[in-house]
Order: sequence, then structure tokens, then C-alpha cells
Amino acid sequence: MGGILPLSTYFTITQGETDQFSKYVSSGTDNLNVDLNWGYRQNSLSLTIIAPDATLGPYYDADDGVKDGRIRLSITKSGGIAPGTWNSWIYGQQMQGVEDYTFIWS
Amino acid sequence: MAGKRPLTLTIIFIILTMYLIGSATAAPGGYIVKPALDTDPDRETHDFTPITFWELTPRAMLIGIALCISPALIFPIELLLALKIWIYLGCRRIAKKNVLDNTIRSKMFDEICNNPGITFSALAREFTIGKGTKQYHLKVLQREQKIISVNKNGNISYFENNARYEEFQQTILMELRSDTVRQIFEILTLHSNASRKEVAEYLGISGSAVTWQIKRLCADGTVSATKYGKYVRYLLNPEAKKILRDYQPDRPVADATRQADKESSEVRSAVFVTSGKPVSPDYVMPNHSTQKTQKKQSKQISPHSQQH
Repeated sequence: MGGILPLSTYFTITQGETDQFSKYVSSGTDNLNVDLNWGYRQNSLSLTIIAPDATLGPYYDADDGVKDGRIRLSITKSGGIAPGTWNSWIYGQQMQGVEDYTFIWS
Repeated sequence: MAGKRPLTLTIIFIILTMYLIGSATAAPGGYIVKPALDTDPDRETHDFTPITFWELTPRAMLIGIALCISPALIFPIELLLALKIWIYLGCRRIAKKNVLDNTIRSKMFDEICNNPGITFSALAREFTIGKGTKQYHLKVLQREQKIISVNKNGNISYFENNARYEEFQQTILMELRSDTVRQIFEILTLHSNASRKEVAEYLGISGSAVTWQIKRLCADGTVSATKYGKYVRYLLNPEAKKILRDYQPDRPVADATRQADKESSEVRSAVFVTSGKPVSPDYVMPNHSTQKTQKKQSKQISPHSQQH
């Protein structure tokens, strides 16, 4: 539904639906950049990141300073982010139809 | 315990305050989450791994469910999870230095110190609290290395953990918990090489009952049995004699033995009867550590009232 998707695996979501993701963070990692991109700002998705030691979010489209159908965040912590499994919840907040999105980290 | 409640409430208040203040300035847990609009385009990217709900950790499941209902529920859920940790930490706050702060636990510890080798059932008689509570306090005392438990033939006895009691001493102290065994020790202290018949007569119990008891004592190594002609005679282990001396401070075994040799002939013929049972006139109850125990034991002359 609109927006240019980067070359990456994309998933689909509808209103009220939730998708779960995980990523293992090894010890000594300083920061984690996450990028949730659905590209269509009329639709609203939320992103909640569950670190081993805290819950971050939920974050919405405008939380990265730009309302562009994309949430790009950099997560840091002094002494390094917690090692272990990081889970993420993506929630279809207000949607029209089915939305495609990508969810990547760097 | 009641004194710890304000501390717990203070800790909860601090957590709550930190969480609320934290959420206004930075993400919880000391994380800093900021927009990443100008990330390096050459930086390598990876897809997150999609997983099903059932692959989540229980914590992530709870948070996810809360999120579906209302994001406002995340904080209470996290708080509950944090509190659970505090409750757990609260239990672990009991350490060796404060393990005796609890009145019941302290009394139980004193009872064990004053009655080395005391059994759970004997402790149960002293403390009118629930069985589970007693077990819990004993477990805590053991965990903090204040006491040790020794299991012998299914009977569990408790000792102060002060390296004072060696294995053989523990065995004797455990044996002394039985009135009958205590009386056998006393008779063998006074009369070395007493026969089964003599012991049975002194105690007023059957020969087979003596054999059963002596068999256990021989297995423990505190008594030895030697056959002289057609009679089996029993002898107290010299090491056991030494240990038993500590529990008869008013009448050392050595003195008692000398006196016993002197009075041997009289004692064997002259017995008096207490509670219908013939008992040696020179009957000396072993002196356990407390006066309370002594008083209690002095009432327990009946050879059949075993504590095992």
C-alpha cells in the first residue's frame, strides 16, 4: 500500500494483528539500530521492544521525529545493551487493509 | 518481619519513582532510545527473525498480551515482574549474619545447641508451630550453615554446625536420644562386661529387646559383644566412654567405673524398683547441656519411653 520498500524480507499485518520477532544480542554490544518501515504514513503501526532487562516502547511513527510511515531508532546503554534474546512486538494500530512492512536491525 | 515492611515499601516507592521519572527522560533500564535518521547507509542490516507467540519468553508473552489490551498495562506488568524479583531477593536477604533475627528460628537454634542430636519430632514437641514452618526454619538454618542434619537409619537429628561434633560423637548423641540406650550406656559404664541377662534385669525389659538394642549399638561401634563361655558380655567402646563423660560432668565415667568396681557385687544383687521396673541404685542420668533437659530426663525413668 504505497511507499518504497527496501530490498529486504517483508511481512504483512492488518489492524489489531500483532507480529513477534526476536534477535539474539551478544554481550559487548554497544547499540542496536532498528528500522520498522511500512512506508504509508496514513496507517499506524507500533513497535515495542522487549529487552532482557526492560521494555522499550511502544513507539509510533512520529517518535523518531518524522511521520513518514517508518520508525528508526537507535538503542544504546552505557556499559552496553543487555545480552540475550530481544523480542519485538509489532502491532497494527490503525490500518486500512493489509500493510506490508520490513523490520531490520543493524 | 514487620520491621522490614517499611523498607520494602520504600524500595517499591523508589522503583516506582525511578520508573516514572525515567520514562520522561529516557527509556527504562537505563536505555537511551533516540531517532536514528542519519544512520550509515553502508552499515550492514539484517532481518529480525519472525517467531510465533509460543516461542516468546513468558515475560514477553505477558507484556505482549498487556500491549494488546492497552500499552498502559506494560508498566504495571513490568512492576509486578520486578516485585516478584524483589520478593525473591527478600527471601534471599536472610544471611548468616541475620539468620537468627527471627525469634522462632533463634529459639530453634538454641534448642538444637542445647540438645545436640535433637530429632525433628522432639523439636516439634517444643515448638507449637506448623510442621511446614518448622521445616522452613530448619532449612534456612541449614542453608546458612548454622546447623547440620544427620540421617541415621531414617532418623534425622540436628546439630550445631561448629565442627565440635565428630561423626562418632554425633552417633553417640543420636543414640542418647533413646531412653533405653541411655540406660544401657549407664549400666555398661558402671558394669563393664555386663551380660544380656543382667542388662535386661536392670532395665526390666526382655532379653530380646536388649539384643535388638545392643545389635544396633554394636553396628554403630559404641558397644562390643564378646562371648565368654555360654554368656555374651557387653563392653562400652573406650572412645564412647570418653565422649559419654562429657555428658556426665557431675559424675565422670572414670570415677563411676572405679566406684562401680567397688560396688559391683552389691549392685548386682541389690536393685530397686522405679515405676515397676528394676533400676540400678546407682542410676545416673546423663547430663545434657541444659537444666531444662535434665529436669525433663529425670522424669523419664521408664525404660520403655523411647524417643526414637
